[in-house]
Amino acid sequence: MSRVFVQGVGLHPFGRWSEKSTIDMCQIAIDAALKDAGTSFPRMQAAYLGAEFSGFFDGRMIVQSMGWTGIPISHMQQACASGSAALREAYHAIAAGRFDTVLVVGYEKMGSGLITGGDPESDHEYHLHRMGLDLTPARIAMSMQRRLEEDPDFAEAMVVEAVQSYEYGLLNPFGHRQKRVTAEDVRNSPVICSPLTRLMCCPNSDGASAVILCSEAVSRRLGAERAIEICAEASGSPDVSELDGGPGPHIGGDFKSGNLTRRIAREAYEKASLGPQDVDVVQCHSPFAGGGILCAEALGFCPEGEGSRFWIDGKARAEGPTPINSDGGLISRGHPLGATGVAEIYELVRQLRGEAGAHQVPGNPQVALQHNTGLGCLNMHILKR
Amino acid sequence: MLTNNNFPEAKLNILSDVPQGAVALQADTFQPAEDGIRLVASSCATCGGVFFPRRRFCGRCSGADLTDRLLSPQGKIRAFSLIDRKSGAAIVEAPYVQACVALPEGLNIYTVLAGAGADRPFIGMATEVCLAEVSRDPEDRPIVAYVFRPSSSEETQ
Repeated sequence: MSRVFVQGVGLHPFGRWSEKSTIDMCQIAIDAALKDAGTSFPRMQAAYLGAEFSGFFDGRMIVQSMGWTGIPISHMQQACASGSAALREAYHAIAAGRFDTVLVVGYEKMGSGLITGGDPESDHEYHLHRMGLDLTPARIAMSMQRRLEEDPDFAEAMVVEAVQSYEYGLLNPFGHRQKRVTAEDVRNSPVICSPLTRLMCCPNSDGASAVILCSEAVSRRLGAERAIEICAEASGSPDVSELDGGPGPHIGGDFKSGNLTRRIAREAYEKASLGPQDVDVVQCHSPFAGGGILCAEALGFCPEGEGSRFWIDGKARAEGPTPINSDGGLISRGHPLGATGVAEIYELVRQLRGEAGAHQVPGNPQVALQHNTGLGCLNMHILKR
Repeated sequence: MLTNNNFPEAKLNILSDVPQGAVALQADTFQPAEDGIRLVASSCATCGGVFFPRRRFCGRCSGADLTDRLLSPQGKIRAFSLIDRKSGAAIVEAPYVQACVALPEGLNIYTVLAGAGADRPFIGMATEVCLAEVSRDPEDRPIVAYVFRPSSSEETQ
């Protein structure tokens, strides 16, 4: 396999952008990524896009709005992990030698209200949808509730994770929620799906993100000093032992056990010949407070059962041994589903380059880990400076 | 607004029998029984896997030799959540309680919890499956679905 490098990254700010189209947002992210890489759209040999709620035209029109260059276009739909699924396929296309330079785009315009999955008119899962059992946050909330019963520190740690997200979100000009939030604010905000309060939940956001991936030869030509290598990719979906119950797709099970994250992380570390002790900065998929706590354990940053203390003791902070979600993560940055996975890469690349500005983690980070899940499907990448 | 001390009652009409002309919200999820209803699962003849709802292929071995199996009517709450918002396609009005009920067969069932009311749900609470009228169809026939409600039975595993 050939080595694969992230050469350029770009983002359209996350927020509510009703006056903009998906094309408007994606053009800004793509243009920024191309400029960051020092290349141009006609040099892209393929495009990989990720979005969940994409329209009939979207992916093709987004690419063609940059130019009718005749390249192959692939579109991935994997709920919250759509963007990282696009990245994964682009990575393998370069690693296999099929292309030298590809564009990856994640984007989404979100509706309002709680996220649900599926459509009764097409999947005929009438009980699931009509009885209100298709709410993604409700399944995750129940996973969190079970942990609350077992872990006396979990309630405090959930609040710590949420408050840290808002604290770092204030430093991130591309984030959706930029406001000062206290622990009392988090505890006293309205319950959405108990035990999750509104301020423990990511907002529905619009946004777009883009990266340029290159082979080693192209990266050298464009400038190897700013290139970040993707040294491992691992991905998967739940096996039967990880299922939690029915009806409905696998939702929230990994937020209970972390077993899928554990399995995929083992593979990623092995491929990278690295371990959790080598990781300097992390983006983990935590749309609801508590996700980062379970990830800290499942990704191996602390022993099992000590995730709450890990967060309460500040070990996930920028100055801690394993900074997690240094740009605020999903809770404050926002969660335009397809854009999230690629935005995680944006943040990690900027961290590894030392270009993250006000939320740059100290210590000259060398290795970063990205974790992105979507209705049970999980994509993970390890990046190295 | 919901708080952690304010538990809503799902506005469902609990039924003791399947009414005449009733339409199941989703066919093949339950069957009438002498003392109520039973959920219908699939049991794999090849590997013994049991899954709910019914499946065409086994979730464990992908075998196609599956037969119906009626599930125990009682189980214990494994987790629950108070839901403050109605989902897009739902006919159940918020607020309501959603629960994960563990059955003796080792299956977890996600369900609306009806009749919890002032009896605050708790992990380990004994529940039983029952039938509820959840809506009416255009011909004014009752649309019925399974839900779980608190149970005082000592038979709960």
